[in-house]
Amino acid sequence: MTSPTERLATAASTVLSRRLSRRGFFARAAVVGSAVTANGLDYILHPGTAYASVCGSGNTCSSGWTAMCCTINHGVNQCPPGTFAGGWWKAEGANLCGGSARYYVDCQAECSHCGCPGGSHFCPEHCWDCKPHCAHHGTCDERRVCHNVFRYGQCELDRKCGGPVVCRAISCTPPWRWANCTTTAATDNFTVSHSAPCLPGWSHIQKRYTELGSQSSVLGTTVGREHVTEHGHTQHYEHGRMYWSRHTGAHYLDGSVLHHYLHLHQASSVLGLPVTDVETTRDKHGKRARFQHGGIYHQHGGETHALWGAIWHRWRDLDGTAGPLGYPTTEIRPLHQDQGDFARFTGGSLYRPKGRSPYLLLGEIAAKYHQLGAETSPVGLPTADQHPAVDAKGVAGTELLCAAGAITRITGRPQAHGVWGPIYTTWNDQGRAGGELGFPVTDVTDVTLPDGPGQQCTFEYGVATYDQTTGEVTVRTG
Amino acid sequence: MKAHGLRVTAPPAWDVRIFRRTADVATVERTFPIVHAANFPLPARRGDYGSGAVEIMGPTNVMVALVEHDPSAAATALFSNRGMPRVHADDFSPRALQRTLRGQSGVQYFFNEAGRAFCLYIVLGSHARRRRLVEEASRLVASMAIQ
Repeated sequence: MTSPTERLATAASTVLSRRLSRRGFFARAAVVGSAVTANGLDYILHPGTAYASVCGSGNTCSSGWTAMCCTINHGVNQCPPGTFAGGWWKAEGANLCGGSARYYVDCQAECSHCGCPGGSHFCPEHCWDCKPHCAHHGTCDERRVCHNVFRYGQCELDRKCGGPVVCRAISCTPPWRWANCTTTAATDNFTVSHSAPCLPGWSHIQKRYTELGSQSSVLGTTVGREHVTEHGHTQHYEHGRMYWSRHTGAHYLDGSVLHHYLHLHQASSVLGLPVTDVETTRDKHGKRARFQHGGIYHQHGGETHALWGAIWHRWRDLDGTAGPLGYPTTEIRPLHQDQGDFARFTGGSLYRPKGRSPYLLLGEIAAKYHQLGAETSPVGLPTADQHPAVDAKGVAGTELLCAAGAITRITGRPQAHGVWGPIYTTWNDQGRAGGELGFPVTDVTDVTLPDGPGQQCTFEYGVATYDQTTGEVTVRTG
Repeated sequence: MKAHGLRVTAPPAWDVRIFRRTADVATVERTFPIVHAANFPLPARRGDYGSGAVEIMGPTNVMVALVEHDPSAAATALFSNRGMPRVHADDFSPRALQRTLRGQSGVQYFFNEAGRAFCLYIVLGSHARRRRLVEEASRLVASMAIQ
């Protein structure tokens, strides 16, 4: 359900869209939405630009108020270096906080050059690190910077001496939850609409951010305002980003998962938008986030990779990070000569020949397959999952059948072995491990026979030799 | 006028309010008493440090705000000065205002008394006339008692 302000913003944006390019429209729509959120009917009914209205009332230098920190701090909504939180107040019923209280923290300049004389709480101007000025940074927030010598007095109470208010940090979460402040409330409802283009308006993302605790959340403070793209909305934070669309909801990413998502070009990638936050994996050994069409997975102390499509679905069916494959160690990669795709994991691999399901390779079987050259090896691409096998004497093992050979391993033995070529054909015709030769205990190796080159493979119960000159395979058992 | 353990004996024609805002029950915030006193009629809607009132001040007007903080703050460095301060004209500055409005002047003192923590904030309608206006403000401050 949309709020009245959202509906007004949509209507205003619709009019604008008739004259603007797609990119221009998205940017302008965000500004109009913010203007309506900040100033409500004032913006709709009175002349003036949406851009000026974003800053709310008293936005000029001569109005006597202090500028927002994000205006002078590279978009970062927090006290800049050389300042400290000196106190806070709230304005009730703020549209910019969904109708709840909005909180303002004054960032006071430190007195680094000298102290406060006598019993005073403010150092003289020659001690300040900042120069009083108006925030002419090309935005409508032209309020004062480093000018008003005033302190609300609920934060950093161990600091008796301070300088002027440099700027104001804003939040929809009470300051005592994210700064060293007391819960003693001060109120000034006249500041309720004070804002800046670099501060987020009230939105699905801002609502979720507030529920997470705003500045006290893992995301830290906001950096700039919300961006609107054709895929959805994005908000940058000190330690992460949050994404929203009507279909996916609002979810945040941080750390290596976010870094990887950025590397993949975010929502324009095959993954789409996130449908979860970054979460701890079930085995608690890593982090993950799911997206519309895939996931990104990070193992603590290890790598971060994305999975999508059929391989991602198969891996999830196999219990994901908690299953036998464990964490991905590669992205989804194409197979040689576009034969399909594959991904490797800490516990094995999934190979998907074109038009087929992904096949499972685990542990030593997967290691041998890779050692032999994977899809370019003489065994070719897998044609099924690896599966249990038993020889004629009841010895158990595992086999992976491939297009031109097989890889097998006897249970408990350290290594797997590959069989291919004419020797594989003979062994396969005899029933593979269940036949008279049993499991291979070496790979197929090149040998020199009396009449020329050949190949040989030793099995549990015999040796198979291929004579390239005659084209015959000889089997010796016993 | 007396309320919330505070008493103000204001000169005639001064408008004095002693009040305490209702705390937001959705949070753990706490509210404490506030005194607003002015030699002009105070508007109904005011910020704790006088916004709403300072905008309508003329050059002969004075506004005084006494804002109480959590008693635990009384033991901190910021509130370590003891007793209601004596107001001096030289303490005033056109910059010492919550909202710096042309011509006005202000001062702010943090102190503790009777185990309670306070901020005294005074706004003069004219910095140029501060010596005369400070006398008025001082009389009002001298009439304040913390119990």
